[in-house]
Amino acid sequence: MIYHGNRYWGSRRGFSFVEIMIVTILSAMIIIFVQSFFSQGVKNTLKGTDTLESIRAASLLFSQIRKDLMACQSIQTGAASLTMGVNAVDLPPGFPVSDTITFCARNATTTYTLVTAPRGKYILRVFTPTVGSTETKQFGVPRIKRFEATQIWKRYRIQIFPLPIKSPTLKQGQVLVNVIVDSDDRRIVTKELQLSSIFVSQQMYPSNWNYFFP
Amino acid sequence: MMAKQVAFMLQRRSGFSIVEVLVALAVISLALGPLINLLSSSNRASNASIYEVMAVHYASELAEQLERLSGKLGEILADARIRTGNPGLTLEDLLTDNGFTNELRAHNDQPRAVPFQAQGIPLEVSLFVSSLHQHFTERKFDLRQLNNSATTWLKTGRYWDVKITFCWRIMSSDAPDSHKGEFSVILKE
Repeated sequence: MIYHGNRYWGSRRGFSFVEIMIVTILSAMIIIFVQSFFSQGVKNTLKGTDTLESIRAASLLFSQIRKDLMACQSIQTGAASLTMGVNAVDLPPGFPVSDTITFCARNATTTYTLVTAPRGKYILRVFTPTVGSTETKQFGVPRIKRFEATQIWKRYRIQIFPLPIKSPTLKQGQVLVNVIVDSDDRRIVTKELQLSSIFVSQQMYPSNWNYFFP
Repeated sequence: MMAKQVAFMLQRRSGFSIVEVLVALAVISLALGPLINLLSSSNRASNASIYEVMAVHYASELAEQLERLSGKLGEILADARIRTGNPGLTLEDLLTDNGFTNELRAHNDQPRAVPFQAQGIPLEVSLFVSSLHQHFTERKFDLRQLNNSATTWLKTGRYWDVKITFCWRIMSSDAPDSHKGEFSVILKE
């Protein structure tokens, strides 16, 4: 005995072809939308987390470089050095860069080098005191591609005489450090990210503390 | 009694109606809304952190250079006064100059030197700045002179609270100053 009191619950009629088609199409639309949205969302989350990791790691590296710079007397970047005139504002195209930078203090040297290992690249900091043992520290910046350092000597002039008598120019040392991050991973499609920091390696007037004067 | 009910349920051969199925789909769609929001907000938080770290990075670069310049600020200001012929020019005028601020907020491919300007006249002293990320819309200085008349040790000289402000947007539809970071450095003129 079948109960016929309710039109919907009691009906023995199944779905019509049209009904099944409507439900299938609606379900498919919802599933495709949700899938694409979640897929894109997860990809964005991964990308964001990855970029944040790289930026944080680069910040740690820059912070350590700043400390070493404060304590050093001279900097070596090999041939990666350039001088900019008083009125020059842009770095020349193809300016020289080095993947190694050395800070020389009175009783120690600290070198940062980009090292290529089978599992990826990292930056190695080697602290070599004149007395005592060498200390090494690795800075892993996720997906690092290049590490570039350049010394920039920027000429400047502070006018102390009434014009048109021109005051002599002075030279200030600065260090530009670039960390370039990029991904070969197809799952994380990111554009190249360049993180740079400019450190003043020399004060604008002679003093006997902190900074080196050539 | 129980056996009768089970028998009735087993005998009942009807399925769901189209109306029921549509209602179920609508409920599922509504339930997905908060999940989608959760994912979006997680992404927004992650992106916000990225730009905050970048702002700290940009600010420390400028603060360090300003601190290094602080011993020469008096001379730089005197230079600006000579070039403009304006003896009343202050450090605030120099660091908040429109031309200088426009250069600071410009987007470039490479780090570059930005010369100080006084009333549109460029000086021959500059700050080096990293190239600003495309999402950043502002990089500027705001100055406030500190009142040091009541202090015992810091009576000589003028002290400035230099505020370095960065604005950025995460989505292109956001307002240019929808996110803001402010950093302070104290300078003696």
